[in-house]
Amino acid sequence: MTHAIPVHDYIRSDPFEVATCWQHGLTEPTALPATSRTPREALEAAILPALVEGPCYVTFSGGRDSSAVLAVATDLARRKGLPDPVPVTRVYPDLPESDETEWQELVVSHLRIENWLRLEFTEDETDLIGPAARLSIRQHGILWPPALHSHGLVYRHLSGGAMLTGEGGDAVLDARRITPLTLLRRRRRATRRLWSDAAKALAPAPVRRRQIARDLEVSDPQLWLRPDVARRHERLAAADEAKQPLRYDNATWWINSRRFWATMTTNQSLIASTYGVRTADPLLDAGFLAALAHAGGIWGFNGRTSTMKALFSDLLPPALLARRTKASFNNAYSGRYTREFATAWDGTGVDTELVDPEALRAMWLSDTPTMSTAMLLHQAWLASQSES
Amino acid sequence: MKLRRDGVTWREIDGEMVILDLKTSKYLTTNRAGTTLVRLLAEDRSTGDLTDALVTEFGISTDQAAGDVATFVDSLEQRGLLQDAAL
Repeated sequence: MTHAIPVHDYIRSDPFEVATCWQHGLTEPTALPATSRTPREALEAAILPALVEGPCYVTFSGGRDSSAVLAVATDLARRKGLPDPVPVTRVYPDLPESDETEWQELVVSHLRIENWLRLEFTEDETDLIGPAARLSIRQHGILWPPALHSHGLVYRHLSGGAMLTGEGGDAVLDARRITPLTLLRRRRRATRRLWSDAAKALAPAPVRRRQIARDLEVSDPQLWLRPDVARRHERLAAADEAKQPLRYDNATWWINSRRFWATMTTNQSLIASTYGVRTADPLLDAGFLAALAHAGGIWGFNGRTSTMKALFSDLLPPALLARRTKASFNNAYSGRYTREFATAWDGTGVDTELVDPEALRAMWLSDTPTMSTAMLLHQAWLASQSES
Repeated sequence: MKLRRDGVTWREIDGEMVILDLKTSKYLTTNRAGTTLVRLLAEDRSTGDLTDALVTEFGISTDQAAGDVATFVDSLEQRGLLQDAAL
């Protein structure tokens, strides 16, 4: 399935995409372009306009992706004689599982950054249907990814300018389909898991599709979907994933064709523009992807840490480069507004051919909420507003 | 003779054949001549078939090709990667 991506307006989701909170499909594939740039040079080229036009902000969680963007932007600004970018961090004092303070301070002190914007929020403020989100949903409609509706809380603290994000880092800097084979080739100690992954990598596409769909069904059971809808979602998601080329360079460029990135960058930039903010996602920049693809060649890097070290070891502390933990922010989007709405909800406003309302309510009220039901929450809430 | 199917998977990557023997946890790669031979050994082949293929593809003498095939087949046999076609 291929889709033309409009860039002049929000990219809307159809009912199936709202129910699954996903964007299936790939855009028309293109050939990997030639480039003479190193990955660092390409990343700097993607970052430079934001520094020049200024003021330049960087969403900064203390994770590897946003730290990498912040480090490259800071180094580039200083070499060019431009003002340092300002890291912008959301802080949730009431949510210890989201606390990244130690990692953040490690990076900020390593980079000798003086100006750091830390914004404190409660989960009620960033609730998926909290006051700020409600305003945004009314103004812009239902959007993917749904967390965009809380971004205004941050943008309104900025003086216009540009906001760089670390979006796409997990996909772009992580292992590829070929990585298990690369590790075997480079005589990495072969665990049972590595052998299994290597065999999966070489399996024919239909076998990989079935395997990925089965894995999805087990690891991410979307219990609020009707069974046939859930199976269709798994099939489509698996079909997309199974199209990943085997070679590292082709697989890296292929990331560019995943439809959800175009949706995310387009919708994010349109929301930000209403606050006079320009957004850029340097790790998803086509020039960077092309340069990284060529740098990795056929076999690529040995995995995420190895990629981070190859690209950023001169800029970031070793502990951060090798970091394997990740904070959870899911509860930051689920506060009293979601719970109150879910409790009182009469089950209307969602397509019951696609969704089981009671299973959906249970998920909204769960102690472990998932962002995968967020578009349905927006849909149900918006419908309740038009009725009242 | 032909390559064993049970627990063996292979794939050509940029002219190089990568072979995984999942039973013995062995990762093997071949050069271009080996890639040609592995491709052929997906089906039942004789040493004559393999020799002819190397002569045709690489323009080497029959004697040299026969020697290369013997060495390669011996190496596959030692690793337990071949089966009799009749099996």
